[in-house]
Amino acid sequence: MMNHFIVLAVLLPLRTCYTTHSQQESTVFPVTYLNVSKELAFQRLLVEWDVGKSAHDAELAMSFEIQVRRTGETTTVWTEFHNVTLDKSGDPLHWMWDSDLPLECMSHSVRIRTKAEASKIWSEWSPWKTVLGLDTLNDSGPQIFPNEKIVEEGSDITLCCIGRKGHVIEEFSLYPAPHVFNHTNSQIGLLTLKNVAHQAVPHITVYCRESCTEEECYDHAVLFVGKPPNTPNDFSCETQDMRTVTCTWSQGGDTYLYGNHSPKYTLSEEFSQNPIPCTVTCSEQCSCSWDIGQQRIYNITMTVENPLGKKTAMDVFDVTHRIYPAAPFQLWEECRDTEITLYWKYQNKGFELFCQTEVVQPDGKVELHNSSDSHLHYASITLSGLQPYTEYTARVHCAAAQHFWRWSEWSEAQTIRTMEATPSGKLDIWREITQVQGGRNVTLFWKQAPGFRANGGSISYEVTWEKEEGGSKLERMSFSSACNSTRISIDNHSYRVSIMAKNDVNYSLPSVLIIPRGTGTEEELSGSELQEEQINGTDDGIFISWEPRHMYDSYIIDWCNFPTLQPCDLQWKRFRPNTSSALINSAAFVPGVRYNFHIYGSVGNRVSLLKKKTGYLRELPPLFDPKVEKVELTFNAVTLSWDSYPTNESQSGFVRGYHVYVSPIQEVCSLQGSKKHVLPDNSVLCKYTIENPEEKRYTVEHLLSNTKYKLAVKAYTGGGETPIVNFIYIDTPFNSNMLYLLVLLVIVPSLVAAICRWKLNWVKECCCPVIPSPNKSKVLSFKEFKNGSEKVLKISDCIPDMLAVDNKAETQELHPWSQLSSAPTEAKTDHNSSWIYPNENEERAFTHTPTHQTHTWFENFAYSSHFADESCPYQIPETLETGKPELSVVLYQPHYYFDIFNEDAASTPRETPGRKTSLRYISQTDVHCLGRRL
Amino acid sequence: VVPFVPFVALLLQQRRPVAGRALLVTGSSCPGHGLCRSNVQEQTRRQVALLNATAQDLFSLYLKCQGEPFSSEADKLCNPSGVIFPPFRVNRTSERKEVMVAMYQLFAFLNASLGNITRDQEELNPTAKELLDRLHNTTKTTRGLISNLTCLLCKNYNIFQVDVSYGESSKGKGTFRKKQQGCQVLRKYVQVIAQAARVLLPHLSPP
Repeated sequence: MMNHFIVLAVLLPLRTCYTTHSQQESTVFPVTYLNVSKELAFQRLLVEWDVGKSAHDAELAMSFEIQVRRTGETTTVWTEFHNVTLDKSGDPLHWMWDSDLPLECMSHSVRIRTKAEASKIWSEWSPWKTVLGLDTLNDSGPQIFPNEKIVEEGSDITLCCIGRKGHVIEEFSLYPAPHVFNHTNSQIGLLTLKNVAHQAVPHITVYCRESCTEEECYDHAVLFVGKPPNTPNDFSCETQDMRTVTCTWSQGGDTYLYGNHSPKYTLSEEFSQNPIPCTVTCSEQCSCSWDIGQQRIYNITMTVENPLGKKTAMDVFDVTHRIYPAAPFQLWEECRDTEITLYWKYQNKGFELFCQTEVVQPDGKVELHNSSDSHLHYASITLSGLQPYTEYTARVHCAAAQHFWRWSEWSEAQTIRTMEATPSGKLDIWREITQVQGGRNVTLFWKQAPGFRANGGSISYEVTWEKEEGGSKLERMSFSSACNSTRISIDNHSYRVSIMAKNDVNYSLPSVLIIPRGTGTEEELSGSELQEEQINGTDDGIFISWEPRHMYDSYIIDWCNFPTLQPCDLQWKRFRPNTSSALINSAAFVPGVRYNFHIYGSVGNRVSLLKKKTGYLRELPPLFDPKVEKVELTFNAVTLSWDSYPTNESQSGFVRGYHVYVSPIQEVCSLQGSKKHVLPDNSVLCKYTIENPEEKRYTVEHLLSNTKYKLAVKAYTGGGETPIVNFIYIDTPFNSNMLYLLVLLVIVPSLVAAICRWKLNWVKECCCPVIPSPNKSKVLSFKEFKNGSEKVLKISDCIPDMLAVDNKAETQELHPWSQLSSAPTEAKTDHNSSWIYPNENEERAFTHTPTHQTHTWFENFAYSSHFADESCPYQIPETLETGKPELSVVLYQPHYYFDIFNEDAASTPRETPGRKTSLRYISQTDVHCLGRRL
Repeated sequence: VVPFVPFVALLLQQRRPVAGRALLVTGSSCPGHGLCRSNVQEQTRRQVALLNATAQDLFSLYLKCQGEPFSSEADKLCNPSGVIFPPFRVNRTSERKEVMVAMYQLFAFLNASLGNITRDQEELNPTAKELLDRLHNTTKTTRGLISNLTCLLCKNYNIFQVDVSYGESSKGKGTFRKKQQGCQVLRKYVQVIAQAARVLLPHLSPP
């Protein structure tokens, strides 16, 4: 029994728990109150509802499903689940919904159903609660919503146009391009703009038109397209005096929103939780200043806001770490010759400053000198190591010494000149000595050496000289700063010259020059025993070299900038002892002028001439052509002379020689010893070159008589020669020798011929007895080799009248190229032929044995007659020169004759081989002549 | 340099659409001397000529700066028939006194309207510097002209009170409407200033 009660006692609470839980699972708490309103400024629906008090009392965790629907749309436009744990206060519940479509455009309805989180059952939906749009009103015209809106660039926006009842929206678009819009119904048009872009004009106008055209049928709306403000990334605060803090920042990019829509700036302080009482002003930068009081640590938040957004920037700082001092002012100075003490004032005390002085030297070099202030009201710095009587420009800026933040602005720049001092360094001096009757004129020159400093404003020069051996009065002259030379006259003793610079404080160290004892001759001064060397200039100047000698402590080169003028502007340059070359340049150097350089060695203020050099910066062609003063003419040569042509320094380059130009005949330069020279107009000249500038005479040979020639003579230098413009014209005379020759060749033979004619028979008998014709010989019928009217000898048919064998070895070796003499009928030995026309080609083809001392030839008329008819090039009469010129003979060489004597051609299959070697053929003529002779 | 009449400037600060009787000078009568400079007539003539010469450019620049649809549909949007404008019913044959009074009424209205337009454009087009400069210059010339007309009316006709009307204020209106109103006023101004110049200049020409 007892156990039974215990069981009941356990089961009863369990039952109770189960029952409660089951009740909660099945209990629903429907919406008891629902109210919907709209907040047009934000285009937002505000929904307020409540459930039963029991739900509040149970502090239930509940879920609410909220749906939004628009007029004319069958589906809900929004569904959201909203979870809330109720409290016992019993306050109604709230939810907001931001509409993407202006709420004026159409009516919006909301409904809600609920569910306790523990429950599985949703309540019934509440009835739809509607807020009306303006589409329900009957207005005086169409209306666009939103009518004015600020739109972020790149975003989307939906507009609607509500027409009057009974009217249809005909157009709804942006200017100027028409846009396609949607109709929800004929009375309402919807227009969605995607990715809105900023235009040149800061507003976009939208228009809507009903189906009529009167003014009341239109409505216009304006969109402002802009950007949210940029975050000011250079926001920073600082103080100049520990009393006022100023924050500055950049405005950032253009938001395209102006007037009331332009960005607004506000500053607030986090520690004090107060807005900063400052007025923002913006020009290039925005700034805001306020008095700080006792607060040292700040956390400033700057907010920039426009209708499209808000950005913030922060700066947390300790005021003592943000000191940006005011610029130092009232600078003054104390000067000495090499030191300046600079003083300045500054506004703010209460913190230690560290200052920097910038000193600009005359050459533009800038030096910075640091200093810390020590006085209460002013600070100073001493700048040392300065040059006397020199202007320096100084300015100062400062920063907080303890916590450096920024340098102040620079003070006004102060220009200060140091005091004068004794001239430092020495003058560079030089001389020019001219021998005169009874002594010398010495021109002294001086200039400030690179290390020399006048150290004063008023400089003058003092020149003193005396005999080196003593015993003479010290001569002294003073010159103003404008002078740099003077001339003194001295005798031939050795003199010591000294030149000093002087300013208002003192003299410089003297520069000394010893004028050595003179011998009274010009040669001594001019150094005429020295060979003058030629040098060439470069683009950078004229390069001069010499052999250094250990005894000299310096070298000096002097030259005249204007060698043709008097005075010639003598220049000199001094070089260190180990120097052996120099590149001399001067702004006065010009091409085509010869400059003379003298190189001196100096030891102990005494100088001696080492070398003389002469050269041009750049050689130019001669200024004028040689003037041909004499022309000697023969029938085949002309001699030209131009003796007066100068080759000295008056020339614009070193004259290297001459060119003689001769116009050739028929544009072909064939004159011996000349070269072809083509002029710019492509005409051809023959050019002879004379490489010795002192050879001013030339003979052009091998000219033709009785011919016109034009000639020109040009000098050339290292710079070349000038173009050929002028010519000399000559006519070679007739050659009288030719007349004599003509007489010899025409008249004498004519006389001989006349005499011969007159005594024809006698001559015939004496010189040319009758000779039978070989063509009439029976043996020479030449049936097989008849060629036209001519006959060819056939060896086998030839029965000689007599066979003769020459007993001389020379005559047995008849060479194939040997020909018969033109002298008829007689064998002839000729040692003195005078017509010489060598043909090299044939010499190469037919080499002969140069061992013959005499040759005997026999004429074969069969060939000679053929020769008379043919004009084959191989038949040109020629003379072969043997090793001994006196053995030259006249040879005629018919082509076919050559073939016969050729071993291959002359041998036929019918001929016995032995004949070639055992017997020598002797022509019919030979036989005939021999026969007659016998 | 124009004669300065302090109360005129105060009077023209009115921006509400209002009609009233403007007191040209303080007191109940014109001052005896010192009101007009010797060349006031010539100066008035030059001011009218200047306004006439610059009116069209001002209107064109205004249209350009408003963007679309004003630059392309000016005829439709800027039709001045809907704006209140003082009647200008004088011609070259009208009496000189009558012309002067009509002129005063016209330029008093224009001065107030130019003030409205300038204020609106400073807010809507603060970057359109050339337009703002021209509006300021035109307003200044108009003010000088009113001063000179005041002087001439007082000196020649002893008129020190004129009934005037001012344009409708654009304050509180939408951006588009502000632009449109300025456009309408300036277009009417171009038309009327040409007429005013034709009518007034013969009256002000040197004898």
